[in-house]
Amino acid sequence: MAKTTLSGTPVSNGTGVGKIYAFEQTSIEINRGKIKESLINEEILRLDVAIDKTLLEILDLSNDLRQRLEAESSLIFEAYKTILEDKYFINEIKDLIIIKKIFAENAVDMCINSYVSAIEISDNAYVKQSITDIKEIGSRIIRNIIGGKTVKQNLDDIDNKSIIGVKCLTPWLAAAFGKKNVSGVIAEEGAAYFSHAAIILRDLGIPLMNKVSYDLVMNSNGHVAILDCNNGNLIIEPDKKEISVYKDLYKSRIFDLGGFFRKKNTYAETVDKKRIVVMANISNVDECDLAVSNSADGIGLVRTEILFINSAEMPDEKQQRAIYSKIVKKMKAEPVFIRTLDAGEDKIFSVFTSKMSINHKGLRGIRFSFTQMDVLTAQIGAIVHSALFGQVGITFPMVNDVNDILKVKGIINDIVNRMDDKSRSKLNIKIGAVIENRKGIENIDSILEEVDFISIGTNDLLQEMQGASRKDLVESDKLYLHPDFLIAVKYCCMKSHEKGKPVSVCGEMASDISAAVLLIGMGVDSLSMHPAKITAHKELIRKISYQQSKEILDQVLKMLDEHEVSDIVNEWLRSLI
Amino acid sequence: MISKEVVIKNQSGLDSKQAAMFIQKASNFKAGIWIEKGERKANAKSLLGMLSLGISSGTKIVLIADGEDEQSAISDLERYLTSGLAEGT
Repeated sequence: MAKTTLSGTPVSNGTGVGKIYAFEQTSIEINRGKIKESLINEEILRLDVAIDKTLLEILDLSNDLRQRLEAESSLIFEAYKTILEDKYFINEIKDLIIIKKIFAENAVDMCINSYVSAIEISDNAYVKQSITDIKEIGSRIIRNIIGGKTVKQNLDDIDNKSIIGVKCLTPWLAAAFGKKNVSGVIAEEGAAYFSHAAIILRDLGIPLMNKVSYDLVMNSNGHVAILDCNNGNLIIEPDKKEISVYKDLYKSRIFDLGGFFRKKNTYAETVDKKRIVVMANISNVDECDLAVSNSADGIGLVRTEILFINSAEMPDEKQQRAIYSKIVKKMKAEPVFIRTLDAGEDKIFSVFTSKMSINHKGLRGIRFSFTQMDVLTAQIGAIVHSALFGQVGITFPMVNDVNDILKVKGIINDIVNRMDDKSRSKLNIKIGAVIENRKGIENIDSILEEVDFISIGTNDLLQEMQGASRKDLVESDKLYLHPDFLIAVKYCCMKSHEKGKPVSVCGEMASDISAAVLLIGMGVDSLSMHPAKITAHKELIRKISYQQSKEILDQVLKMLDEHEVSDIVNEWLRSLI
Repeated sequence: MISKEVVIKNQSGLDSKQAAMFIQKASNFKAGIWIEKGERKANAKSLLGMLSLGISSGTKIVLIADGEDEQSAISDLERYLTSGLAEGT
């Protein structure tokens, strides 16, 4: 198939790359025949069961999406519930079955149609908007009576790489697609700007385009496409170069671990629409509030070693579980990345000096934790369990090679296997490695095979590379702007993106604006810093262009030292402000 | 059984949100409650019933209550319909 571009009306911004999936809305064959008197009770039972099933489907969808939707958008589910629990409506259907001796699905259809036609002739345009919803409920109930293909079964083939094409979008379908975190949705109708379906997908940050002929979409079923809702285009069978341009712009979405990063109005996007996730580093639970009030897109780093620094002894798994869960709950829909204990020579642990053996071999990060397996296992257990309350990423400090990751994954698997099925299915935990020494960089390819994302520990890496002690670094030095160091960080980003894994930077480098713009130029997906710095960073991101930051990066990599780099970046930044 | 004529004045009329809130109010009473608009009459405790009337701003309706607490039902619901409905959508 040759490259084709279809246009439409974009109603939810963003871009997505994926395979087109034409979602067939099969019409249902309704049996209009009569039933025997003796079967009436059976029909009524079928109706009751189907209504309960429909109600459960709604509760399921609304529970799953509640945290991700604005309160206002969740009201649509309430309306659905109210109708399904409306005993007058249900009794009317039952009366039809009894009096007319018809099948349950026929009775539902007749009853819904009579309401719809009454509303159609009314002159209230607001009420008319509810017609789609009422029809949707009718067809859900009917599907559940007949027991044919329910939405659930239809949705099995859909994944987060699908761009869904649909003839008529309903809020229900929008929610179901949203739950699957699809790359985008294109509809022929049902997706006007103020429709519930559009509101839901906007809340979820999923691109949506309205008024695209379903027939044309069906013809391109299975083809790769780019849905660009910033410009209102669906590009079918784009060339490779185009995909890579879009994928580049789109990377920050890969990082969002399922779509939770996208908070309306508060996120930061460059002028050329590259989303940069800006998160908070925290060392105690109260800092969560600070993160929330500064519109953090999540907690990029929980420094657990500092969290417990004042405890007389290391909290046990249960206590840790309570603390992590509290943080995760406080952040509601936003993700939380928790790093396991990072024992380094410059970090003092009142807790450990008494309880833990002394760090004889100068082991660092996760390698040191491996000498304290009971402590590590308890901590991992607590972190994994906190993931039942939200989006959690677990990161391991100073990973040297893939064996470090395989070892911790073994621990995680044991913990997950001991959970009951229900908890296990709810669990959404991502695993990341902090790359912060030469060994980690050397082994980055094999490490990347086993993790969901990487985080670059610029502080430790810099210390090792410059041979300087971290304590001696003063801010004015800005050694992290040294071209050699920038090349090392850029290399990690490139490797990670080659494998489609996102990259975050949580060190001081991320919180320095002149370094942050260079990280953005490298394609870093997420920056994490002290909560108070977030707002200023987001404001800056909205002013710069990703393209330009890449150009500046190329330019500074040719410089001799960090001072020259700093001059160039600052000059550029001044020109923007 | 008692009834009362009411004119709906808020801008969006009984749209889905307003209707949903109204049926909650109506459901608090034991009495059977209906709303009549022209020739159509619908149960005021049913969301679909209320929506099917398509009550817009400026519509004249008749509020009907029948049952032990009909008196308070009529006066409370009338007050709600004339001054309790939110503006806009």
